Amino acid sequence: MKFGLLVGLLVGLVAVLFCVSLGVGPAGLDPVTAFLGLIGIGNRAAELVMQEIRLPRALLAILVGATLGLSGAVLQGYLRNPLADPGVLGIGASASLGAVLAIYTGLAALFPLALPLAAIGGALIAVSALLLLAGRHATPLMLILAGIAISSLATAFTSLALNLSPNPFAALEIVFWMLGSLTDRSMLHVWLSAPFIVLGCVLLFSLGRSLDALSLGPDVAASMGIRPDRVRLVAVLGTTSAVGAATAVSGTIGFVGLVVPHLLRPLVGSQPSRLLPVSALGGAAAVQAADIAVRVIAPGRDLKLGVLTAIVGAPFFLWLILEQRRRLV
Amino acid sequence: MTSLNVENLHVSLGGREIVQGVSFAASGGEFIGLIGPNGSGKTTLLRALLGLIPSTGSISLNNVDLRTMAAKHRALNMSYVAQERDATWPLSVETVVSLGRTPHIAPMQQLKAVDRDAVETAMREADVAAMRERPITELSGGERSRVLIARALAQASSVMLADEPTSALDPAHQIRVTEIFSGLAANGRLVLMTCHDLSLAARFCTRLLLLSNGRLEADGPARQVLTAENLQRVYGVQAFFGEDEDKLVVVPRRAIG
Repeated sequence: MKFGLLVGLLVGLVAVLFCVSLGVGPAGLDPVTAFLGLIGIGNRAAELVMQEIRLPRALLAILVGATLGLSGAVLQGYLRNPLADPGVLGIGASASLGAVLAIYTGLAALFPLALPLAAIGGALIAVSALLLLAGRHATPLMLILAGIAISSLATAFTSLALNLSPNPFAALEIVFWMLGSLTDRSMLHVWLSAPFIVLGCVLLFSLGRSLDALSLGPDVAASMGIRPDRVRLVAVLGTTSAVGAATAVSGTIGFVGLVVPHLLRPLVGSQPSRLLPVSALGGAAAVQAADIAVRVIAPGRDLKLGVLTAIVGAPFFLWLILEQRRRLV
Repeated sequence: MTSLNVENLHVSLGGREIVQGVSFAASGGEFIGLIGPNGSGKTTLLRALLGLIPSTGSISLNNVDLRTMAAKHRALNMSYVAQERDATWPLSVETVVSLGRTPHIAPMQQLKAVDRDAVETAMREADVAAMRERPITELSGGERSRVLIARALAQASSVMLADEPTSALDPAHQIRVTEIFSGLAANGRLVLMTCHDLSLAARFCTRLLLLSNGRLEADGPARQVLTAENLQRVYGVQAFFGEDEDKLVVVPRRAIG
């Protein structure tokens, strides 16, 4: 498939899903009322629902999805491993820990922005530890090992917070938050996360050509003028900024960052630089679709987005593996 | 004209000194065969020349210190065919060869006509144009080597460093690939190639460097370097020496010691 056509189709898909997402919700607004509410004319209730509830949710789905797809594609390219995903550096787990601590200490109840701010703080601490642990001349392997160590530590502290939680409600709140969701987010969440996500995505997009060169191995890439230390730094900082901010507003949403690049790779001739924009779009479409599905499948039950992506993503991933194996033999 | 000056080069890896005080000067037009037994430091020497690993001593290209050269500028001057034929993703042959133009294109730019021409020429020279659509991961070892050589050719640099480019190639492609390098040298480039096929090196290279335990044991034309005494001392082999079309033929016959 022509690259331009593929990008065009994905942009169209994201746009359609965005509109569908704006039209779905328990308020049951008809499309005309919904549209009038969105642009701020018509009745006050519809305006409130559209601008304060549905719009931030749909926008966040795009931001979070694009982050997951893009960072997954970059990390798979940089680590030269199709199994890498945004969780591999431990950034998501550390952001989660920050958020969990905000809930645990009651800060999140005091003022709502404490939670995403604490999550971003967690991501920043994690990236500092990562760069320190892995050192200046770290190989991808050392980066993965440091990421696993940080991820395990963050998960352990999260468990400790659950273990010591003062009351079952706090524990339940922590667990529910960790499942990953975009329900009841406000425009404040969008404004808080968007700058970090945009900055992170710009950094990650700038790596396209370096990732292409790296597919021939680090030595050959370096002989073509690619600077490995710079690529590593940009990849780590870009992932931290985007994934940290995305996790801060949505919790953990699994499998998108792993499956989306995997699925789209054959359509771009496996070229890492071309995989970046299509994975960002594909991720946005996937999260948007999943966020629509949780509202359609179980309205009123608050099915968590992260639960759905894992339940659909894991078997899908299995199918992909089987498909690949069949092509090999 | 291109000139490469290496003086008293030392490289240590993991606390072991792999290259111990190598010095040589080379200039455009030379096709240098870097020979020596396994572990003698050939690959390490090439990687140090490329600035991929830290080294001490001086390396200068056209009287400019290579270590102070920006990575991109160095890439415009030196290209590299690695011994490992890494290819992570099933990229098409044409895409792989196009990667050689990486240092030539500005950020966020696409390949220009001059880049496409260089890619086409490189593919033709390495005899891979016919398989341009095929994924590199599905090629045989020899085909893959030629594609990676074409990639380095597309970089169009004045110095070419190739690490065992002919291993895994059938005889016809060994000769063809070596002829490509020979042609580059004839056009004024400097080519440094490591090689285990002594007769091939003797036939095509204008000069041989013999490495042993990180030191330069001999440096000169084939007849001066490939002596019975040197082969016995450095490689630990007795060899048959012959002549063919005015060129030295060396066939190791038995390992000694």
